[in-house]
Amino acid sequence: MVRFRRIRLADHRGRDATVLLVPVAESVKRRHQDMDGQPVRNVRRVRATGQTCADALFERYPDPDELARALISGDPEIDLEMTGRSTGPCDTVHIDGDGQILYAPAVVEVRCGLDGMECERRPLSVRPSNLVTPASPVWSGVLTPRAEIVRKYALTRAYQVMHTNALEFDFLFCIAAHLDERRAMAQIGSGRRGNGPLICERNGRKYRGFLDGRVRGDAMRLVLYLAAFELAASEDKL
Amino acid sequence: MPMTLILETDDGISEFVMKPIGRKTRQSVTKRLAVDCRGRECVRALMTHDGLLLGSGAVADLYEDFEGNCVERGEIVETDANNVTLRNLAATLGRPQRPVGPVASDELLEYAVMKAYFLIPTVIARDLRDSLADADIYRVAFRPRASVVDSPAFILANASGIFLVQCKPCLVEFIRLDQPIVVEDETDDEDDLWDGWQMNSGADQGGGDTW
Repeated sequence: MVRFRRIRLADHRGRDATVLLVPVAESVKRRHQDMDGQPVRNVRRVRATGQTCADALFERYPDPDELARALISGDPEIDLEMTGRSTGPCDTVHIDGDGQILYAPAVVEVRCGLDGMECERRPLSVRPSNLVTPASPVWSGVLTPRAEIVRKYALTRAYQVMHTNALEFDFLFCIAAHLDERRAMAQIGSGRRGNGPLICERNGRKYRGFLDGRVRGDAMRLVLYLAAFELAASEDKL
Repeated sequence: MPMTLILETDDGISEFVMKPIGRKTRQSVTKRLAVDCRGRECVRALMTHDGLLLGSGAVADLYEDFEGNCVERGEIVETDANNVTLRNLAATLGRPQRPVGPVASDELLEYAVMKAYFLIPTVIARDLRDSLADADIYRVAFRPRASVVDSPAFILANASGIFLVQCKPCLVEFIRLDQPIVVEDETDDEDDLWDGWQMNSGADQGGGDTW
């Protein structure tokens, strides 16, 4: 079953509805085959274990000459039972500073500046998604010509706004006609003025949202574009 | 070594030094780190279902045929969903490309941006400079390396300078009321707390995009 995001959207008439966001970015499926046209598959195999990896060997043989002699005489870098076997499905685990598996690690947020250096370290704060809010959304009323938006922002995500029933279709058609008439895109966002950042998933990135609408006869297309950042050379923040 | 984009127009050759831009270059980055009880950074590892712990560099990804023989990457060809072999297209960097256009700005709305570059002109032809200043947008072939994928790229200018955005197509269609929609009624927009996090991996935090 397909899962779609939802967004609670307000229109220029002060009405609101929770509608579907269907991702529209094209995903290309490619297959791999060898020169003879036979299909090949990607597999993950064990190359070394914790006892035979380079770090373990350096620890076991601190002297490089001793390590070289051991590699020639005893093949300590190969575990004949494990090396080359398929890993199968794996789980990701965290290893603590003592090399032990950590089942419940604490999570901290580290903020790095533009130079990549750490600026701040703080406990994790959970930032919920704000696409569907308990409070009624607000129509920002900020309409910007399409040509200006595509030149100013990097629109990195696109979702087609879809209906699930006839009432929602009428609601969306009305927004699309409003925008098409003005050949403009409306800013969609959070907050009291409806121009704050959109967060699609919990602890996700912040985006600036723009809604584009077109109408052709009794058909319409309404697309929500999410801008990850501004097209600018300076170091200004989005 | 910075990438160089060379464009050829009627008035001559234009050359640009390309500087990638994105969230990392535009604003500070917040990473999430898993730490142990003493505040030391944890490292990630894989664990097989029979309990074998595999650290960084302990696994090898390779291609095999159905007899289990390893196939070198250079001997692998890519095909599309219809089993048609995809031709490897040559890299365009360092070779003059002729921009197509100007194209309508609405055309960009049929794509989503994958990468963006700030273009620093070292030489710029007069016709291209004037046209970009008049808010024209051009499409250009842009492949940093040989690839079977020909993602379109657009050159545009704004008050901050000249930019190249590489895009992937979006399949947006007009919909009518009577059009059937596949809908799942139990949609949970709140993802799991741990989903999409790339903690302690050195990579940028989750989100699913190229950024």
